[in-house]
Order: sequence, then structure tokens, then C-alpha cells
Amino acid sequence: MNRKIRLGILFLTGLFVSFAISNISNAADEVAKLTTAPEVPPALSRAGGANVTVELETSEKKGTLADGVEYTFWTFGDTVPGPFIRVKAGDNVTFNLKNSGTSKNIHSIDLHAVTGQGGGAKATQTPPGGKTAFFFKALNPGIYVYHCATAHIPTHIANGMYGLILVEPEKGLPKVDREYYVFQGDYYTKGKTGEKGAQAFDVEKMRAEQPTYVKFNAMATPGNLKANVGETVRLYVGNGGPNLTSAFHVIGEIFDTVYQQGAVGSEPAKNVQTTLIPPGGAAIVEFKVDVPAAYILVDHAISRAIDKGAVGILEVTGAEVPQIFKPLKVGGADAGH
Amino acid sequence: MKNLKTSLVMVVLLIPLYLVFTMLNGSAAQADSDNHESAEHMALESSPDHEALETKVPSGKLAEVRAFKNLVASDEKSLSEAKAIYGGKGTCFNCHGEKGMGDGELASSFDPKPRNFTIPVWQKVRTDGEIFWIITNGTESGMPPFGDMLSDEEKWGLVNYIRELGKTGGVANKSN
Repeated sequence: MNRKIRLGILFLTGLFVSFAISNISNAADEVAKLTTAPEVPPALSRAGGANVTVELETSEKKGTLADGVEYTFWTFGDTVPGPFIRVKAGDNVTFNLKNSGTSKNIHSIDLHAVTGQGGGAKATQTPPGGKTAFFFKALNPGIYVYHCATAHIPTHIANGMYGLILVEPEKGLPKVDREYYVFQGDYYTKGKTGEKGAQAFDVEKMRAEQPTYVKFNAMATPGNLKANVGETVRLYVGNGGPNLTSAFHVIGEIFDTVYQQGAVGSEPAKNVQTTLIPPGGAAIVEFKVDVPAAYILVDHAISRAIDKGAVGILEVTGAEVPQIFKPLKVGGADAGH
Repeated sequence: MKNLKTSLVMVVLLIPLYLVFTMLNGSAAQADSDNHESAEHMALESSPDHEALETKVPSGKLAEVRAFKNLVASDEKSLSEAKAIYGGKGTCFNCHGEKGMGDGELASSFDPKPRNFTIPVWQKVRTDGEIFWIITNGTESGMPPFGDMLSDEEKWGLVNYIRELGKTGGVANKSN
């Protein structure tokens, strides 16, 4: 009798363990949560190897490139940059691409996270109103650019067709308090910088690599990035170009950690002031915000920031920390008062 | 008498020479007529549009491609459908222009420029099969392959519509 009970318990335990293991190794299907910049989807608490579906649509939308300057962006997901995609190393990804029926052009996607023909571009040449799909296994962890790869490719990219996909490493990235998504692009309009009204794309200026605007998150959710004093901030920073290499810098901060070139798995750099991000490349920068300030994100090829728009703000609030920073009143107009 | 004989010999010799000369002259005239198209080619070869003479189909496939038979009759209904594809999901108009003159909104992004369908010699030298093959497979100079985006019927319809643009779209029409 005891033997039978023991055997029964052993059988049930085995059944439970098998079920648990199969549930981990063949995680349930999921649709990837996509976010509009500067938001980033939450970290994935599950193991890699899930069957993930990504749904993305291309479109051509009017937006504002600068104050009073209208521009027809070509987009993924109606935003520039396109949505942030988050998967995990080992995931099996089914990628579905739609092209809006209102598009005038064929669009496609080349994800740098993909190992395979054209990063998916050959399989996803999608006419207006059409749908395409492909499968890929996320082999390498890292932060990767995706972009349209339909002829004339530089024109598609210059009009805003790019974004980031994060392939988390198996154990995830170290926990931080805030994550944000920032993406730089250079823009080429017929009119001069600041010329109001609807502006058309200028292919000759693009070929000459003379942008009229350089922007972070050109057509995304407006507003500043926010954090509290003492928090650790992680920025995923991509660059679509099509031409300029970014000298990414945050005024008043030092990057404690940089995954240069988005190379997750490599030893990160420490204590970096400015990091280079080439077109078609990305980096992850992390820093603790020690004091309150409006930290200004710039491309430190500084005329791009001051004259062409490559500026963003990280607004950090909280109590002053005079041991780290305080203004001193010496000399100046109100000295002695 | 001796002079008479000499004259006769000369005449006898000159007759075949005359005949040969006349024949050669006639052949040359015929050849000129036959080469009328070549003259057109020569004019095009020295013009900026000379590239239009060169086929984009790989030489190993050319014979097979030229033998393709157009499966769609060129009639009002099929041309109307093809026009909708040309200006819609085919996106042809973006580069080739509404009238097929290679002057669409995106034309300046490409080098060489998109094909101008209204060049008469291009219409003459390109077979339906070659146009169909290019629509299907694209070109290295930027034409996307439509093999997976359009059905064979739609592509043949476009071939017919491109022929119509050649008749009505631009140069031929302007010269009238």
C-alpha cells in the first residue's frame, strides 16, 4: 500500500515537474509590446525562447519638424523614430509588416538584430495596402537599429524610417530606475533651416550631407524626460543618419557606463563624457542623477544642437545636494548685496 | 578595223562592269533603307538617353525572356486596371511619372534616372517579355522586384499600359 502511494506521489511529482519545465522552455506565445519614444517597454522577466509576434505598420504622415515647419515623414507605427521593440535572446520572432493603404511608396524593414537575408528586407517589400512576414531567431543580445530598405534607401531613411530593437541578454540587463528611448536623425528640406511652411525633401542636400535639421525623436511623444535625484537612468540611443555620426553627450552629466556600439556582452566603458554613435548604430548609456538640473542631451558636434535642433532635456527634480554641486556667488553684478 | 575591234572589246568589258556597279548601287540604297532604324539607334547612342538601348535582362536569359508571350489582351478594361496599379499599389508613378516620362516625384533620387517610357526607340527595341522580366525582378539601379507583390496578370497588364504610355504619354504625342 505504502509502495503504491509512494509510486503515485512520484508519478504526480514527475508530471508536475515535466509540466513546469515544458512551460519554461516553451513559453506561451506573446505579442511584443511596442512603445513610442521616449518610452521603453518594461524589462522581460521571462526566459528566452518565447514565441513572439511583432506587428508593425508603415505609413506616411504629416508632422512638425521644427516650429512652424511641416514635413511629411515616412514612418514605422506613425512615429519617428518607430516603436521600441523588446525581445530576449533565444526568442522565436514572427515579424508581420503592414504598409498603410494610404502610403504612396513600397516600404520594408531591415532589422540589424536579424541574421538572414537583408535583415528581413527581401521578405518584407510591401506595397501600399499589403502585408508581409518573416521569422527570425534572436541570436545575439544587444541594442540594434532597424530601418526601411526599399529603393531609394537613403530617401526612406532620411524621411524617418528607423527605430530600435533591444535583444535582452539571457539574464536581462542590470536593473535601473528609468529607461528612455532617444533616436537621432538628420533631415534635408528644400527650404533653409527655420523656413516656415510645408517643406519637401531635398535629395541633393542629402547627397551633399548638408542637413537643414538634426533632431532627437523628431515625431514622437513631446515633452522632457524625467527622473528624480538619486535615480539611475538608462538611455537607449540610436542614430538613423542617414549621414551624420553623433557625438552624443548629456550636458552636466558623465556616463557611468556605456555599452559602446550597443555591444551588450562586451565589457562596458566607464566614466565617459561623449560617445560616438554612427548611422545605423546605437549605444546604451547609464548614469546616476546626483543633483537636480535640466540636463541637456546634445549631439556635441555643437552647431547641430544649437543651430539645427539636436537637443533634448532630462528634467531631474529633488533636493539640492550642495556637497556635489552648488553655484557660488563671487563677483558679478549682484556681488555685495 | 583594228580600232573597231578594240572598241567592241571595250564595250563588252564595260557592260558587266556597268551591271555590277548598278547592282552594288541598288544594294547600297536598299541597305540605307534597312538601316533607317540603325540611324535612329545611332542618334540615340550619342544622346543622353543612349542607356535606353541596353537591355537589363541578363544575356543568359535574354532569348528565353524575349520569347515570353503576353497573357493579357490590351483592352479598355485591362488598361484601366493596369492604370490603377501604376498609380496605386505598384507605386510606378512615384519614379516613372504619371505619364511615364521618368519624371516622378522620386526620380531625382535615382542615378541613372527611372526609365522614360515615351522614348520611341526604347519602345521599339524592348520586347514585352523584357519589360515583364524587369517588373518581376527589378534592376540593380533601383527598380524594386515586384515578383512577390504583383500577380503575373497584373504585370502583363502593366506591360500593356507602358506600351500605351509610349503612344500617348509624351515625346510621340508632342511631335504630333
